[in-house]
Amino acid sequence: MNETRNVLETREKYRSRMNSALGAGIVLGAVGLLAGTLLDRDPLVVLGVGVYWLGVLGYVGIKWRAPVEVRDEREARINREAAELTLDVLAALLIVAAPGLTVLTVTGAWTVPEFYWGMVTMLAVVAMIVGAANWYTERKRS
Amino acid sequence: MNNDLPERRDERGMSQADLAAAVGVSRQTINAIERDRYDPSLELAFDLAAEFDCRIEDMFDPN
Repeated sequence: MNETRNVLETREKYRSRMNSALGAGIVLGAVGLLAGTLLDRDPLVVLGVGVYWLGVLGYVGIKWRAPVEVRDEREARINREAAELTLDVLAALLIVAAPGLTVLTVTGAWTVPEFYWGMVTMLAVVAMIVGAANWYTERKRS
Repeated sequence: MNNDLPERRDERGMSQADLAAAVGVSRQTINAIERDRYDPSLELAFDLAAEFDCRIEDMFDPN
């Protein structure tokens, strides 16, 4: 009982540290960006972004070094299902947008702005990353 | 999956939080299992069975 209670307390402690690191990164990053913009000091903007990245790195680092899983199994499953749903939506967008924009361009019906091609390219990159991640995970589990 | 977790917990006078602490998951996870909103992993099912000193199939009914 004490051991499992320790798991919960450790999980809470590390989650709190992760959130603090990320929260501090976001707040200080925004302050730096705002101060840099208002005072017209580029170094402050760069510093703000640096602090923000440090916060994100802190979040990931603390999660990585945590001696217990920072999410319990139900929370991990919620995360997996949400990620799966997100990928389904992105896949649907890619399936509809890529051929649709191609047809519009080829027929000359609409000159598709670069922005939309950029989005389709990004969706294609995400699809490739998902494929590679699936391949890697499949290998790990087989 | 149907289960008699609430009854077993009540018999012991345990709250959801007590049981959660005993098996190392969140109280919300115990609540979700009891309400048949989440099926526990095999590992957690074994931990729950051990906590109540019974077999998994005594506690969970897949039908």
